[in-house]
Amino acid sequence: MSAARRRPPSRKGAGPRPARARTAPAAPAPQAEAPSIRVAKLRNGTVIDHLAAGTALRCLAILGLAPEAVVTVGLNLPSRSMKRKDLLKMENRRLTAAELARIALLAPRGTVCTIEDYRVVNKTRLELPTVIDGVVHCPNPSCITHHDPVVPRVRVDSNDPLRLRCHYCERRIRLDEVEFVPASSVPAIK
Amino acid sequence: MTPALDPALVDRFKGRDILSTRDFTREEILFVLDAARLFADGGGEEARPLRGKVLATLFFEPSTRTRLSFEAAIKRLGGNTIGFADAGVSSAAKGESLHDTVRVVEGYCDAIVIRHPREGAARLAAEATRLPVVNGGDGSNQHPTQTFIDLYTIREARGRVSGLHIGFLGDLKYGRAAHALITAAAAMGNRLTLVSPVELRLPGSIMEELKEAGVKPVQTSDLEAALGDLDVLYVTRIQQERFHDPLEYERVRNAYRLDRKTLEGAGRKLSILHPLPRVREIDPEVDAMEGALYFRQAHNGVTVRKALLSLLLGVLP
Ligand SMILES: [Zn+2]
Repeated sequence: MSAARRRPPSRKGAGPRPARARTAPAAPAPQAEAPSIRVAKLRNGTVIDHLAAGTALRCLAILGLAPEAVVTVGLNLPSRSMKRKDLLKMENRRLTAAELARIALLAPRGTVCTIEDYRVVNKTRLELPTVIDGVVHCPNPSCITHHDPVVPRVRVDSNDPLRLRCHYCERRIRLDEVEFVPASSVPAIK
Repeated sequence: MTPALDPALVDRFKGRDILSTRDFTREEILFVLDAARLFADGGGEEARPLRGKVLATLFFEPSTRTRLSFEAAIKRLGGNTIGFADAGVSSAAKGESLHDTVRVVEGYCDAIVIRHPREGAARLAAEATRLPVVNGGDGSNQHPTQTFIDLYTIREARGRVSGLHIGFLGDLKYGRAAHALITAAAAMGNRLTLVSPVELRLPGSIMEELKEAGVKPVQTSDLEAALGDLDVLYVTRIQQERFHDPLEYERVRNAYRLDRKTLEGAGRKLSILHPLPRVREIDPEVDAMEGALYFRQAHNGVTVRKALLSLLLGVLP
């Protein structure tokens, strides 16, 4: 009788899990062209800033890349607040709430800027919702989510420190156990 | 004397699922214990308030004791049961999803009790139906009616469920009943002492949760030293299959066995609980002692389940 009950049943979690190893594409642009030039030209799209150093490629892997997508990746850039940070600039790409939830798990301090016509039209801090659907697999092998067709759901017990719990089996999920549901199998979440 | 129940709380339980003790506030837990008092020792049965109500008992793994207790509870209130006692006879054996099984069964009954070997199965079942669902045990996760029964038995004996010193003895690593009661007892404000062999200590994740809640249980392997100061001792079964070495099992089993001699060091009023079945953890000679409450606890199962079913179905005597 919970609110969750209104969620329509989904078959999406069914079947064997596709391999998670979705390798990030190689270097973003030819070495000759300085990334800053590409950055300056971002006309429409999304900038994800203040990613912890070393997480940009994982974020990119999670977000997935369309065949002709133009993406600039900044790694270990100097930062006043974080010493070193990573950065992603994605042309002509808007992120959905589900995508934001996915990268918020990796980059709790990240910021997201939406660019339209060279201008920042929206700037937000990444924030975790209290419930995340279809993003994280439960690491518990005897959890019902691995045996019945159901979209995995985790609850965020606390943001700082980040504490996650499987909605179904109630097991605590440590950050180093987080295994993402492949982007392609994520149902659209409004 | 029957305490009047808060109508707002009565309303909150109507149609509600009983899936995990985590879903209940302290106030709600105490409310369930209050409601159960109305059903103690045959209470609430005369008017047969659940006449015409059908409880489905979906047992995807056998648990005769739990099933019989639920069946006794609803039948004593005038209701009836349908269901199956293990997965082999259910349509799950033909590959039907839990969701579909529940959707079909909801057309046959007024409430559902589910027992399932997979953790989280009861919550998934509850999401598939508008009917109230009671978790009768989901793998190693939860068995909330057992926890309510344990708390009810403690309150019946000690008059309260907070400010007590509660000891837990035996398999604290795998024991689901102990895990749930430890978490609930901590949340209610009790001192905890955990007595187990090193290899069967409480899992780190639960210990961490207790620390987050500001509770620091004492952990020890020494039963006799722990006994002196306890109000309640909750004993659990140590299962042989947890040990690779049969000799090690023998050693542990003998070291954590309660008999009259071990209990000499205990306080006179120590209450002893056990979710049963016991194997050899408690010597039968203890049964006659005043504080041996485990059979009372088993009988309280029907009392507490009568109360919960009445609350969920919105029919109080
Ligand atoms: Zn789980």
